[in-house]
Amino acid sequence: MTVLALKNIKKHFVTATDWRGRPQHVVRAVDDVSLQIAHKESLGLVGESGCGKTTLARIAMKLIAPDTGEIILGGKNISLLSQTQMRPLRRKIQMVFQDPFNSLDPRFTIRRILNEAMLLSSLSTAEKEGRFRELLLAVGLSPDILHRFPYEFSGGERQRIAIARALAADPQLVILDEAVSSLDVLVQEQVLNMLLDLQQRFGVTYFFISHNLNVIKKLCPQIAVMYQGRIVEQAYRESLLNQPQHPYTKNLLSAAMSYRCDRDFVFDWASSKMRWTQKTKGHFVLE
Amino acid sequence: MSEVLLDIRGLSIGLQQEDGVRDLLRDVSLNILPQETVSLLGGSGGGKTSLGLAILGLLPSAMKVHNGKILFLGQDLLSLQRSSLRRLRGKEISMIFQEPLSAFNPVFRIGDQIAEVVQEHTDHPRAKIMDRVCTLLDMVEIPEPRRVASAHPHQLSAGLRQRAMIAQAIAASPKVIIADEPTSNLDVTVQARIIELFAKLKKQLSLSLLLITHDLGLVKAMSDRVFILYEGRIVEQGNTQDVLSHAHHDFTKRLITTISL
Amino acid sequence: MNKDKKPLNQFQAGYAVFVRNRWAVFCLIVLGLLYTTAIFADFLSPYRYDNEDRSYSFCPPMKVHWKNEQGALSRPYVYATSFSFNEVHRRIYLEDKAQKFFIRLLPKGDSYRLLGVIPWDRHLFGVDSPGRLHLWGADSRGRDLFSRIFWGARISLSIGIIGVAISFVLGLLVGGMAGYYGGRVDNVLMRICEMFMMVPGFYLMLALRAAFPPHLNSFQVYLLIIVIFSFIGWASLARVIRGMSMSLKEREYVLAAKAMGLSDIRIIATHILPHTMSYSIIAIMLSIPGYIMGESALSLLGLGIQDPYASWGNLLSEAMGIVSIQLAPWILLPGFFIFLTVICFNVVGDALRDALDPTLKVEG
Repeated sequence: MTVLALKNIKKHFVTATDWRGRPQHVVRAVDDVSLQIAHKESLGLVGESGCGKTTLARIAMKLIAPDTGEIILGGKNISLLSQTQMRPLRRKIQMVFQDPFNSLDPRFTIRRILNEAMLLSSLSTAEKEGRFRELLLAVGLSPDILHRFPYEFSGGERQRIAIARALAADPQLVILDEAVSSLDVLVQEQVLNMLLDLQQRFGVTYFFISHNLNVIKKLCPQIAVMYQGRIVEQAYRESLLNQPQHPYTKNLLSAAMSYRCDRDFVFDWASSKMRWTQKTKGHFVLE
Repeated sequence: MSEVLLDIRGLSIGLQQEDGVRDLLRDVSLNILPQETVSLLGGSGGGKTSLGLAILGLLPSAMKVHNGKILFLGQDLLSLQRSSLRRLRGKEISMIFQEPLSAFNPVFRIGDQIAEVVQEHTDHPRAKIMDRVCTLLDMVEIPEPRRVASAHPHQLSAGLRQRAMIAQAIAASPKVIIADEPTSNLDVTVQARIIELFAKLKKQLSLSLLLITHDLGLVKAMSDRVFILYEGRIVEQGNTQDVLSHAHHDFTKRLITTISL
Repeated sequence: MNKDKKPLNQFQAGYAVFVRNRWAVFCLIVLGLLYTTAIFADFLSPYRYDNEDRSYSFCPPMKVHWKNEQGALSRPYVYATSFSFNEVHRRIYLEDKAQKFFIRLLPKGDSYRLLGVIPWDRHLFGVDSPGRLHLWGADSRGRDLFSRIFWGARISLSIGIIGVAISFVLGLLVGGMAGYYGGRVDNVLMRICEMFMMVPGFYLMLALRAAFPPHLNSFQVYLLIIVIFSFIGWASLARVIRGMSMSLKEREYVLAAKAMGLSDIRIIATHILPHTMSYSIIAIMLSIPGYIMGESALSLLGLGIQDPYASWGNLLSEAMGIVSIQLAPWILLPGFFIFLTVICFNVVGDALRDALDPTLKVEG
């Protein structure tokens, strides 16, 4: 069962126009990207800053509209739905953001933050309270914190609260956009372990976006590599790490594992035939 | 000559909070020899950075040194006059910060900010300062140094900014550079190249480096010796190879599990 | 897990800063007193605003005596006043020591409705008729200035508050929406704002007033003035709120709220506008004096509140002639009250700005 499918998504930004308004410089943030995320098979998207992964995440959430392409959520094509039509569906796909300091409204208590995520649900107040407690315990925080404010917590704790909020709406897919990148390694470890547990418990699938392969490999059985707006390789975890095919993937792995990378790595798109080829089972490369 | 460059003995720093004083560092001792990289490794929580700031006398008013000595070439930095300390900063000991965007003044150009350091601490004649700045930018492998020198911080990518900050740090040929989380905001490939850059500069300029970080992978790739900081105390220290292969303290063992790829 | 200190939210922290400013606390108390007198004007003053007695025209402030003829302490009293003419046929008032009127507590006087509801006729203090008590003198028609100033407070002070409330709501809504939606909505709303801001406030006020018939009853004029002021005031607030809204909408908690499917109005109202409070509250506090003075100016020119109703502005219109000022300087007293109110609002507004400063250690 496919939770989310993105088909041929394109998003270009015009950054400079001439005096007549004609586009002079275009940033191809997302250039013909197709992805599929199957139920309970979390997908990791790895790529460097500026490769377009955050734009892709926002498009998947329908926070930005793509120029072309289709978004299919749980089998239903949501590409052309209006904002009003999207509203009841939004709870199915939630996001945890990178910055723990800005993703929670500093004026809201924790209770209010969690409650907001459940505004569209039909539970009674008492049932909601119960759910808040359940969620907070699931992310490793005490239920007594409901009356406190975000500024009282550390970065790692705030991310847990953000994760609790994402789960509150009972989504099918949770997109984590660099969600642990601003935490130190020990806290990262804890949060990642917690995410694995939560996946079992709540039956959610993750779409994990990061520049850090270490993190992705821990959480995601499927990994896709993004470079300059395109997916250049996608494979199961072991296959990608052990037999990388695309030059960019090889460079990335070398940098991540041994802190050594090609000094002047530049990928020339002209040398590629731009064909999506399957190398071994489930391992695709853009050649 | 292996005369100790920087010798920190029994340093204790406390943080003044509304409900009393919290200890950030307790009886911390570490030393740095010429031309070596020493790492201070620990979790986030303010203790590690305060050590770096304390060396240069840049602690915010809420943090105070209770105890201990910081000896640089035999001289106790904690008892120095402000003016002497100022002469030391940038010239003998310089610092690189985690967030280059906020460490540089956004209003001024990169070249001008580096030139400030050159002017203050060296005897370069006025006319030659910009040349010196471009030489420095070239040393940190920044392409088109003149163009970058006339750019503003926000116009450069994170990697270039970090290199520019390193250029500023080496401008007056210091003996020690304190690097506080120099690569935590950078992508892996950029990080890898910055690590190579540090290695090159260390050899070229006979520098010592005090690396403050939470990333054991970085320590493994860069440093000769490591001091592990846990809850304000040094719990383990030694050659990086030794510590990583035969860790004793629980905290060190935990850290080691996080770097496996 | 987290420290056990008491959660200090922004308001508690701000309160702590505010009370450290002695002047601000003092001014706040003064404002409180002024507004209380406005509310209870009918009780606190000895006479109604239109209670006149021509034989006391331009009567100077009466001396209240605390010692009797023998020099011993007695209940405060005033003498009856009679007048005669001097060489240029101006009245001069003399104390008629034959008659004493004791100042009484809670005497019966003009009837009124306390707080607009409870009919009553006792005042805080006064003298029995036929004596009159003019603590701060009387105007040309012999109306007690003390009473008229208190009654005038009602109009002058309330216009500020009500007018500001309307601009506040308008400015927040328009600014919030313009910033949040951007694009065409923003364009249209901001151009409308600019049209309002283009015309100098005072002239806009006169023009709007002139557009209505000159002889409306005073209550209608009162409402009209409020509406006019709100129209002028909202635009500059809207512009600033729009700027803040534009940057706030990029915050991740706003994105998170969108991702949860909340409606735009809800997001603007709960996530964006509350974060503009620190600016809005101060902008409001500092603009109230402008409203008070605007009303005074209008009434002074005869375009605002008319006789017999009192507002500090139209009380001052009596003082427009140099002759009056020279002979009856107590006529200027309403001006002092305007001055006092404006200063107090400015001081409190300044202190509020410091207190609600977002660089306070609140957000960790």
